[in-house]
Amino acid sequence: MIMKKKITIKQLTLLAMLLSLALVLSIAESFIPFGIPGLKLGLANMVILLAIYYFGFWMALAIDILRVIISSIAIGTFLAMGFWMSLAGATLSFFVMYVFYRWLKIFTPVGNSIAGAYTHALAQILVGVFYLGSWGVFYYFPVMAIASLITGTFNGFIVEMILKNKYLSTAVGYEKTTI
Amino acid sequence: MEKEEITQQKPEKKKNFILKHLWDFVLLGVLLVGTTTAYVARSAINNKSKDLDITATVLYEGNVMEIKDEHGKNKNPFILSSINEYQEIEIQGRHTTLTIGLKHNAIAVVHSGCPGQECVHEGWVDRPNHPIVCAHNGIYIEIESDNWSDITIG
Ligand SMILES: [Zn+2]
Repeated sequence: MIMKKKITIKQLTLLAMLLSLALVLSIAESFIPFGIPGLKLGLANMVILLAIYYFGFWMALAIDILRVIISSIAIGTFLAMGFWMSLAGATLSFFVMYVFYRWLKIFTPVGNSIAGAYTHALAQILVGVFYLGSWGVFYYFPVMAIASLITGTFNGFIVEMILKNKYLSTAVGYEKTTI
Repeated sequence: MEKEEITQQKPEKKKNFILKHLWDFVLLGVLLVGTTTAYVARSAINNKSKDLDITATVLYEGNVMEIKDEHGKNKNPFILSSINEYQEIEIQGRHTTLTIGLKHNAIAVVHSGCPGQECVHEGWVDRPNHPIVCAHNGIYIEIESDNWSDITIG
C-alpha cells in the first residue's frame, strides 16, 4: 500500500513536479526575512505533506532532502547556517508530519501541517541556538512560530483540497482511505 | 458514479467541517495561545527592562571578539551605559566588514556587507534579551544587563 511495486510514468511525473514545486517554494520563502538569515516560513511543507500522502515515507523524505540541498545551492547558503537550519527544519517537520499521518488519525492533513509547521520553526531556532551559542536566539521564535502556524494551517487546507482531486489521486494510485 | 459521490459528500462535508477538524483546531489553539502568551510575557519584561543599564558583547563564531581601542586595550564587551557620544566601530566578519554604532544605552549594526541585511534592519537595540545576528559574518551581539540577573527566555 505504501509503495507500489513499480513507479508508473504518471507517478514519476508527479514526483518530479512536486520536487520542482517544493524547490520554487523553498527559494521564494528565502526572500521573507525573520531577523536571522536562513529562517524560513515552511511553505514547501505543503508539498512534502502531499508527497507523504501520495508516495509514502521514502519518496517524501527524498523530495524533502533534495529540495533543501538544491535550493540552498541555488540561494548560495549551502553548508552555511541557513542550510543546517533548513535541513533540521525540513527533516524534523517531516518526521512529525509522518507520525501524525500514520498514527495520529484524529488529525486531518490540516493538523499534520500545523504540527509540521511548528516543528519546522522550532528546529530552525534550535540550530540557531547551537550555531550561535546562545539561547538568546529564541528572541526570534514567537513571531516566526505564529507566522508558521498561519502558513501551516493554510498549507493544510490546500493539501486537503488537493487530496480530494480524483484525477490526481487516480494518477498516483492513492486510495482515499484516511480522509 | 463520480457525480453521485460528489453530491453525496457536499452537504455532509459542510455539516461536519468543524467536527472533522476539531482536533486540528485544538492543536492550533494550544500552540497559538502558548506562543502568544510567551511573546506577550517577554514583551512585558522587555518593556520593564528598557531603562536598565546594558552591556553588549560582540561574539565572533561563538567567541568574544577582541576589539582594540586606541591604546591597544580590548574594549569588548561594551558598557553602553557609560557611552555618551555616538561612535562607530568597524569590525571584520567572516566575509565582510560591519560598522557597529554605539550610543548611550543602545547599539546597532549601522552598516554591513552581508546580503540579507537582517542585522542592519534590527536597528537600534536598547534593551537586554534582544540579540543582533549577522549569520553571514558569524557575528552575534549579545545584550545583557548587570542589574537584571535572571534573563528569561520566551
Ligand atoms: Zn548581516
